[in-house]
Amino acid sequence: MHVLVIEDSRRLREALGKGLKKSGFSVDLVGDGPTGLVYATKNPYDVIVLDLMLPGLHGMQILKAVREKGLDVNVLILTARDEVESRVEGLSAGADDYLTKPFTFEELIARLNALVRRKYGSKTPTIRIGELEVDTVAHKAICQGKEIALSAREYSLLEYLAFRKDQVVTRIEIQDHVYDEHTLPVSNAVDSGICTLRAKLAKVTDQPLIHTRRNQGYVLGEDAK
Amino acid sequence: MTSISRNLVASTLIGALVLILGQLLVLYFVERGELMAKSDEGLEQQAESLATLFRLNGQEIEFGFDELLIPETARHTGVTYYQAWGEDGEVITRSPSLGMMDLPSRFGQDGRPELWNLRLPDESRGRAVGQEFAVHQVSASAEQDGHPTSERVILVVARETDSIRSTLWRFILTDSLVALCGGVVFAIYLVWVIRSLLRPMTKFGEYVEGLEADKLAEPLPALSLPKELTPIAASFARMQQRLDESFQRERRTASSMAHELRTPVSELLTMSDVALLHADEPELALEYLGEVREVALHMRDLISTMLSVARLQLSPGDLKPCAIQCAKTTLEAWRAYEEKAVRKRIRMTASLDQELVVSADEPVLRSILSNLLANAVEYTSDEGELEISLSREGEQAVLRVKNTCAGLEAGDMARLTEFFWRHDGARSVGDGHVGLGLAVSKELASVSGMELELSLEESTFIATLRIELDSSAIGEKAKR
Repeated sequence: MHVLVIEDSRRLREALGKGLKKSGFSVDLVGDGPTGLVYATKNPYDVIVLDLMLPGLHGMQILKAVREKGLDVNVLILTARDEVESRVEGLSAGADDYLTKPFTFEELIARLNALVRRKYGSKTPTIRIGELEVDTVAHKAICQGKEIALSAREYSLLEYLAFRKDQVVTRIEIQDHVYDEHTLPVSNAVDSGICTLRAKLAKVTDQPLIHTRRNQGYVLGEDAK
Repeated sequence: MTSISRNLVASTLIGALVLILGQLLVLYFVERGELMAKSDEGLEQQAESLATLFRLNGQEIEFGFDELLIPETARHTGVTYYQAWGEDGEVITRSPSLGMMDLPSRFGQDGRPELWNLRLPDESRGRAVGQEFAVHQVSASAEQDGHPTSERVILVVARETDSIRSTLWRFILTDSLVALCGGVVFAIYLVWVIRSLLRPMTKFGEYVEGLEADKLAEPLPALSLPKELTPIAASFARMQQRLDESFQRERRTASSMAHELRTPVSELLTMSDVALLHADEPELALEYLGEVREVALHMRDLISTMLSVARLQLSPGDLKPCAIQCAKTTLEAWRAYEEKAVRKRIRMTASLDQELVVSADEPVLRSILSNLLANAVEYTSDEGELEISLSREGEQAVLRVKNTCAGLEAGDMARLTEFFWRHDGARSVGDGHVGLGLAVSKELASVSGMELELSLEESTFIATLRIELDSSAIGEKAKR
């Protein structure tokens, strides 16, 4: 899942970036308001982690701009401002969640997972596709009771396809939601990732789960309809 | 505790009491005088009446007393005493009330009566009148017989004066009772009036008593205060405003401090969590451990700075002023930031009076200089200008640090010295700047007798530090 972190504290920003990547998210990091606004409005993110006291442009202005453009992205405000008025203002302006500093990384991950599930209309943390189970909380893929060994990026790809099971997912969409800004669109990272994932799934199940739609994209499902 | 209303009532009542007593005293003496005058007049009339009862018959002076002829005697309720003497001093007559006792033989000159106080035979206090008058022969034949045509007679009439005193006491008693009743009514009225007049003050006191810190910004309610209380209310309103500003400043500082502490704590927590997540990558975990240490050190410095300022505020006696070469110290402080200024291609000019020796606590002065110069280098944009000048103005050395700084507004000047306040643009500046430098410098300057002023001229930020010149240096300069 693709997350944008807009945070002015360098150390916090970088630590969040590393931690989120380790947790299977693809992450873009921005340290000031104006750049944050450009990133938030130009790229399709699943979640934006937004600080309020930003240099150059206040976080609330970024939030308002995102909502005015009608972008389908969940926004989590991450700020030191813990007053009730500030929470009410943030949530009323269109934020989907509000977390005050200091926070635990575990809680942030749990909230981000919840926001991602909300975005894809999934109420339960586990998604079933035939024999395959994707646990979006534990970040595990299990097939016939066995855990499939996946890298963070591979799990992220599987999770995105699982959230959109039985739907055709284009390469561009995969690129936008699974890979960060450092992965070039012209690279064959998506095809390569799908190939690796198929190979790992094939080891645990005979049932083909990832289907190719020529000139369209990929579908994760039990049947190749 | 003193009470204005109680004191006012007490002092007014005491004043009124003294006035009434004085008035009673005056009335007593006036009344007494009048009564005595009337009594004396009556006594004189009585003596004159008695005198008419004497007649010279041949050689013998006769006295024919008849109460009906002397109504004054009858009207007088007390005992009347009289005694008369002839020219030879022989007693002609005396009142039966005298018994065998004598009245003093006194009389006025030239036929005028003389009045005096005396003790009467019954030991009561009395008043007497003595007069000398002539008694003429009643028959013409007596003159022919060689008898004198007239004889001189001395008559003294006396009567007691206790009735006058009892009348006076009745009068005093009546007056006192009237005064007492009047006084009680007056006291009740006075209490009511004073309470009514002080009611606005009571209301004002109740308002002040119930005033909460979060209501300080609200204007003073209409209490219809009297003219005398209006200046107090106005002063209170001004104090209220100052307090509100101070509280707001405190709240902003507390909020900023909370924010500035929350961020490093978040950094610590997140970096520790992420380091634990990367337990399988020792190099990354070590890198984060180093960062955690840096944040902890930064927090330690921040707390130390706050504590040292608080300590100096509590005990300014710890300051040890000494003579310092100001230009030399400024240049030494500058060296720490010179490299960064060169890196940012800042055009720096310095005009320092090398002879100025100031009196200041050296660590405090160095800390202020360091903060001002660090601030100037940090917030001057690349290729900007920085000017440092040191000159003498009167008995002070004036150090000015001017630097080009975009984004600041005149309204920001007051807030620049608030702890943890940072201009929006300042947040993009590197780590380690939390908005303490200028606030700390202002406090240090204030505690150590220096003055720090911040101003803005177009896009040039000016920090002016005024330091007292060392007295020995002033003396030397004067000699030259």
